[in-house]
Amino acid sequence: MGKPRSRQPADIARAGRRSLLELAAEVSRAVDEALAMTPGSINATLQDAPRIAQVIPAPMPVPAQEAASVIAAGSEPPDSTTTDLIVNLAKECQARALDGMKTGAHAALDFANDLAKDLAKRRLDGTTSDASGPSATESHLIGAMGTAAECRIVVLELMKINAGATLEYAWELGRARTLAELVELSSTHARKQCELVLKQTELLKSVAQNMTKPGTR
Amino acid sequence: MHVVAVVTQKGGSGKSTLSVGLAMAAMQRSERVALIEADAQGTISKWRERRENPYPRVERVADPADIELVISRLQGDGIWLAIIDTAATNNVLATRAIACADLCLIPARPSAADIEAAIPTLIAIRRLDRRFAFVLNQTPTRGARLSEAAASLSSLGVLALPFIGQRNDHQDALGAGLGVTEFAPEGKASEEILALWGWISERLIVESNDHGQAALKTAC
Repeated sequence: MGKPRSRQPADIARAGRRSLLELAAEVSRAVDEALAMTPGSINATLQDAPRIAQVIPAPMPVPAQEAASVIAAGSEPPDSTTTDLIVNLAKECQARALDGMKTGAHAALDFANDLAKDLAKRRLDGTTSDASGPSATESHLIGAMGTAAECRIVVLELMKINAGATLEYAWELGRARTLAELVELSSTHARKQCELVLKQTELLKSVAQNMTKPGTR
Repeated sequence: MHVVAVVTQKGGSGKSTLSVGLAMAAMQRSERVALIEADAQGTISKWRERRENPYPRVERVADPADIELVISRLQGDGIWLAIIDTAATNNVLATRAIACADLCLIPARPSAADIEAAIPTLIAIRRLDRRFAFVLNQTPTRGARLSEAAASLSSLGVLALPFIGQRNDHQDALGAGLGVTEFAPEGKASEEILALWGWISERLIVESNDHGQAALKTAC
């Protein structure tokens, strides 16, 4: 009779525990979000004291290549599990970013289409003016035409930026020769993409808000 | 003078042991070194009491307002390197230590708790625009977890080399009032700490040179 196993097989244990890569992505987001807020507490802490901090020169930015070289030069070759996790993380981030953009773009384009349809319908109904000159309805429709055009331009511009970023990432991936480079590229791209999506979502939101405000045009 | 702050709010990540190890490694390279203990726990002071050799100099700081004064005094006394050991909390003293540092070291074990605990430290470092590097500490000698932790930390910033393995020599040296390079000079732990100090000193010197050139350019 065999001795009962005292611990789980490594692959089962690994599947059960939390991915440190995903955690690092969450940490990165948390740090970025905190930095985007007002740095009150740190400033208050250092308001009267950082004499040496002011004398000491501003630090150099974190060298990306240096970070990449760390894993390449590590004492142990990275295994396939790590590679898979990194690739999955990058794919997940891309998918999330694209989904967010698709949703935003669809919402904005639907809105623009609705405005255009509304305009066409009202023209057909012949309700665009009255005897005393251009009415409020007409100026609303002229405004709606402008808003729809503006919305299309914004969405197209965002699509162009995203396509450019994706192409650049794909090009860089093609040039990656080591796992370390892949890690660096994936993490940088994921971070940039998340930042980009946040900014673009804000922009789309503000465009949508402008459209819905009465009398903005 | 160069100032290195060892910071993270995670307890047990090896800040004091690493501070002592690095200070002794630098001393072995004939540098004038001081340790600044900004941690009420007093690990370094107790280590200093067990130590027969009067060097390195150890300064205790409890009041956040004193840290700059201590650094100025050490600089005036010709100290080349000051290593600040901070408490396992995100307090004002730790923040001031970060503000004073040329390089912040964030020791982290290959665990989710250690990586998560780095958030407030990273926020403070980035707000204060300081240079930093993670030190993967108390690691197992091999395994997927180590690779994954290395990949995770390097996605958050620079990861120092080499990783510091989980070895009894570190704890035994601390208990004997010695640095690991004195306690077991031929051991693997000693080799790793010396290599890590080499990595850190290169960055300190490069930064110092860059600053010198930048200052020269500004002056011209």
